[in-house]
Amino acid sequence: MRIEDIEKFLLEVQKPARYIGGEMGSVVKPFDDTPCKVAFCFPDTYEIGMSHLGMKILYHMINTRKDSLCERVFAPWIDMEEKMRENNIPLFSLENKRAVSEFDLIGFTLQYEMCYTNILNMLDLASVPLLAKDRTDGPFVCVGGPCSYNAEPLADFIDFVMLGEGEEIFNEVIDAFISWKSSGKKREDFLQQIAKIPGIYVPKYYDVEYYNDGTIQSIQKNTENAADRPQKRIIKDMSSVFYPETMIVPFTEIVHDRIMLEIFRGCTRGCRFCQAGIIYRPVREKSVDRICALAEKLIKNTGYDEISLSSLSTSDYSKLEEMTARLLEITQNKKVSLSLPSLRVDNFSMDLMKKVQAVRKTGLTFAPEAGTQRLRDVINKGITEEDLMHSMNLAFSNGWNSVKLYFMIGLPCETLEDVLGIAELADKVVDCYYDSVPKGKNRGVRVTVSTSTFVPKPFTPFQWDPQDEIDSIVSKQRALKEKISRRQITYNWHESKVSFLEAVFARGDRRLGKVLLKAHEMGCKFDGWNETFDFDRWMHVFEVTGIDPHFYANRKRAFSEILPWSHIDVGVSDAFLIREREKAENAQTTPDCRNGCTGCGATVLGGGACV
Amino acid sequence: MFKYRLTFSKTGYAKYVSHLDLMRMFQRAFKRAELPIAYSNGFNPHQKISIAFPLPLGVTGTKEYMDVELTESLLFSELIERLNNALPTDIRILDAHIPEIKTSQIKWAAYSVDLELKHPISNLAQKIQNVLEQPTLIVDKKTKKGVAETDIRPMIHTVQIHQKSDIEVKLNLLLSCADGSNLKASTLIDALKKYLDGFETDRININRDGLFLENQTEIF
Repeated sequence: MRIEDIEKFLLEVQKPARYIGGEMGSVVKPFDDTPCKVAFCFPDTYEIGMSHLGMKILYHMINTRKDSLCERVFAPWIDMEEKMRENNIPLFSLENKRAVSEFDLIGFTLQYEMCYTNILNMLDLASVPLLAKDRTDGPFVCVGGPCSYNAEPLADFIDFVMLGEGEEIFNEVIDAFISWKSSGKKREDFLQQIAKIPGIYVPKYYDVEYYNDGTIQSIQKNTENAADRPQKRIIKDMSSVFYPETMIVPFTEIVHDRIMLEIFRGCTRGCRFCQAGIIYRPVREKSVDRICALAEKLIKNTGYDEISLSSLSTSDYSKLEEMTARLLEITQNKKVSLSLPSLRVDNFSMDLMKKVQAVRKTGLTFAPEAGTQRLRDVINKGITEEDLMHSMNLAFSNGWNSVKLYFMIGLPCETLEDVLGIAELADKVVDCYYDSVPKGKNRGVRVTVSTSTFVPKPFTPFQWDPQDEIDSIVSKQRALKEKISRRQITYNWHESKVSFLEAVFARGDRRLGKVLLKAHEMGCKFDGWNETFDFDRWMHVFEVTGIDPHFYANRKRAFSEILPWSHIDVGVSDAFLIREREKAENAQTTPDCRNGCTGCGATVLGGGACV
Repeated sequence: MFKYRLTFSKTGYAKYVSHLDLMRMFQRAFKRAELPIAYSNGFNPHQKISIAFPLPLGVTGTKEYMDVELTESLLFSELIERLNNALPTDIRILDAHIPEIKTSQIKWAAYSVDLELKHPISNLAQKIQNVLEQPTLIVDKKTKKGVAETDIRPMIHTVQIHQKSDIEVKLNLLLSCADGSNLKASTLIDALKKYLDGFETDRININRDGLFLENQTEIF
């Protein structure tokens, strides 16, 4: 059937506007005449994918090229997929409504591990052979994004990985593609060519050998053109790099339905659990001028009534006051509100919050991450109870009466005392409210405590640590729930079963490819969604494939072990990560590297504040 | 304040955009066009835009009406051009004028319906005619209180049937369109499905051609 035939059933599926394209800001180019056609695939629903900043940047960047086009593809929701399969309609792009198999490059962004089965399902819906070795013609499949620093579980399915920030490398790949295509050379020649581009990792050019106990014996390249250790790419000048001056404005509401304005990349804090804090190093800021100029254009071109600043830690922007003052001048004039997510407890400024509040009052969320000072020192969170109470006092005396506190359970070196400390901290926050607000004015306070399960991630000081077992997590959650007694406090926790699978795939190796394939065959998809996640089915998959998930999630790895991602270079050295892990054991903190270089190794990347 | 009535079309895939989403889209379009749109007073000021008788999801419209208030007077042509530049291609402003009659005076809506059946039916036009000439047509119809059995016969003004083959037919309808007695074209199709044996649709295209006053003249 033709793709236009989706009209026969679009009214029978939920949210048909997910599948129609045609939004303001979307770019539709003549399809057949364009030399390089990129399908940017987000392996989740439209509402989630359209909220992703990286896609917005690369979509508009590629579409500014005359010789290329970029179209969007999202995972159809279950009801739509069913109809598409029933009617033999292949996975299609929103712009020209063309089959994904007609594109030259299929790029998936890997934002979280639980989308991996969706990638397989999308390739299947596109009638693209799942295994890279089975693809003799048709599109190349590549990945990028945070999880691609360890894309090993997907190695069987992908042709290549773009490591690091995409603004330069994507253009280099497109150039290489166009010259390869006109040369008429074999498929293999394209991969050989791009293997020479810094930041390109072609999994099949590396052989992995294993010891009998299942750990890795060696990872070695098998072709001259491949790098010994592919190194991630960074953009050195954030003010001159491409940033879209318009964004697609969806018809239907998406998760982040507002202008996203990136202010800097990287983070200097060095929280030991945080992968983003390592892989996005070094810190590079956009200038205040550039940010303001972009804000004006984006307001004009999108008509959005809200701007949200995007970074890992907004309040760490070096000229925060100047920037917000100037931005507010622009936004207030135009009835646009400004939101500042990712504020930190230790430099939380009431002055700033009030200014932002002048337009719209937003909720307050803080992430102490751990319940006791000792554990916060272990993870190098770098905030004290005093910081938190100071911020709370400010917030409460200025009229807020509802706060959310985020914590993790299952952190390395955690004891029950640390878990119960979460309840004690929440109690103190409630007390702080009654101390800060005079009796006549107090309207009661609401404190929401949320805990998630810690997932050890590659390229962090905790990459060698076992994840806490599910039973242990559940009993800790239960203990915490019992300890929380005051009616002002609400406790939410995340299902630890999903976190267990995340831990398996985050630090998995190539042997998990057959697990993913089996999971896909057995119908696993949208594993990040409660309504579709089926833990028992996953356990069955591990059983029939003979793979022990605990080997990946719950095993303590030695510093000397070759990790599945040991051949990938993100700039930060192993020596630094080991040093940090050892300090964690003794609850020793490492200062913010703005106050003195901590020698993480990222200087080799040659950019940002470090050089 | 300066009131304008805009005529617009919503075609192609935009028919899958719900009324709520369409309203939000227009609000953003007015901002993009930097038009001097008037805001309501109150705690949450909103733009003064209203659309008469929103199109049901899945129905295209070639002559829809939207009333807006501006704080400054603008030439019709300028208003149309600036807004069209700020709108997605499937939504177009066709005309602007100063409203004289309230849209609540609208009584009728004209539709063109193209139908393709799953199985051929002989004498299709005649059979449709026979169904529609019955004194009552009882179907399940959504009302404010939920789904209720309703006689839709009084809400049908005119039906013209153009049979193209024994599987394809085009209907031109004039149906009641007023608060309390609004008949969707799709509800009339439901009646055909109920009363005509073997009437199963493979493809339906419904377009609303226009909205009319009691005396069947256009609103102005």
